Amino acid sequence: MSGPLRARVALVLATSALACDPLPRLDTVEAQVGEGFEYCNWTPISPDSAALFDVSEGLEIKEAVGVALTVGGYWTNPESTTLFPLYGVVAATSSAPDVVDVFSAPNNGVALLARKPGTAVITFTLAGHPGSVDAPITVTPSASFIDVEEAPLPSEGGGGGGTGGAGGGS
Amino acid sequence: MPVGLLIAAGCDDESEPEPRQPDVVLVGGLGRATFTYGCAGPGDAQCDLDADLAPLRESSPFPLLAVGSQFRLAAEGAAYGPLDLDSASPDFLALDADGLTLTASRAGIASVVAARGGTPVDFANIELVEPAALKILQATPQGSFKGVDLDFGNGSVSATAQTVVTFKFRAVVTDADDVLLAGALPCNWATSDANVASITSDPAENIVTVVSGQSGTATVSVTYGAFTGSITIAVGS
Repeated sequence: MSGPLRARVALVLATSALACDPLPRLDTVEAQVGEGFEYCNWTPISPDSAALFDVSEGLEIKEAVGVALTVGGYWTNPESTTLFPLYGVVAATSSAPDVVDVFSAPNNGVALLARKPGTAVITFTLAGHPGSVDAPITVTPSASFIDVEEAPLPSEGGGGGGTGGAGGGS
Repeated sequence: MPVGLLIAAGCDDESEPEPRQPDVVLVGGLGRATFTYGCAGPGDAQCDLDADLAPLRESSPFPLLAVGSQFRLAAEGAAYGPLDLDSASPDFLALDADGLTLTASRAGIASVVAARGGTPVDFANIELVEPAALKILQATPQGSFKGVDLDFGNGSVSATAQTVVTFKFRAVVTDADDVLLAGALPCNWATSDANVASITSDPAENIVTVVSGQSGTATVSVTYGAFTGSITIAVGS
């Protein structure tokens, strides 16, 4: 291989390496429920952030209700296990739109429509970043849904995590 | 003097104003659309805001809807203009073919979706409640004279005539907590004796006008949704 050719191959390899330099990977999505929060149950991230939950922990919604979420995507530094917020447009798709339909809105808003009892997995992705997060959603029949009394109001939590504040209930 | 008041009321023969529609708006959960309430029929407690018989205020929060009733919504988004409606769960809230009228079928919280070109834009949750009781509201009776023979003198008024009293009643339903429910329910008024108490308005409206006639007793009854009720009207000689 000639010298100039070797140089060009090296340049291509270096460029390729740069192109493959991994962007932070979406591995965590936190959410806060706005409209419809009184018809949902979730497990808070912590007592200090009672309104926030990790979507991978799942969400229970009462049948036929619509729910507005404000979501935030994060990358976990493997060395420090610290969450770093990622910025971009969040997209969400449902494994069973006839059970839980989903559509996105500006400012990291996501609406879930609990169309009928059952389960569905909502997959969150972030434009420009690899990775995805699955959120198991359970739709409970209207007659058997039990509103957990301790379900936090959006205004009661929200300190940590960095997700945007959602509005109040209906 | 009470007679004079009755005359004034009876001479007020202007036509009824158009029923006013409520200005009740629900903002979508994502803040991108508004849902404005409308009346789907004549038997809605949220509509016909007659001063005496307006159980739900014009600026009330979005009302609870009676199961079995119909109502209308108009969805609009500032960035979109008029939007199409869809129901997240037709088992609870069914959208009619006109795309505007909704029928409450089951008790619960039901989400209505505003969409453009089939793409959802926003949603709103509406509470549907099973009616528990019927209430009949009564407006202030209005009087007039039939076969008038009046004398207006200095400081005195006299009348020799058969008095005709016009009553107005309204049928509404409430939930178990006595909260009035909106939505148009099938309604029918009837009288047991039209000579004593005649119904002069559309009996399918939840507001009825009853005019007294000859002496006797009549029962004015109403079927409103799944409920029935009645009022006894006694006309003296």
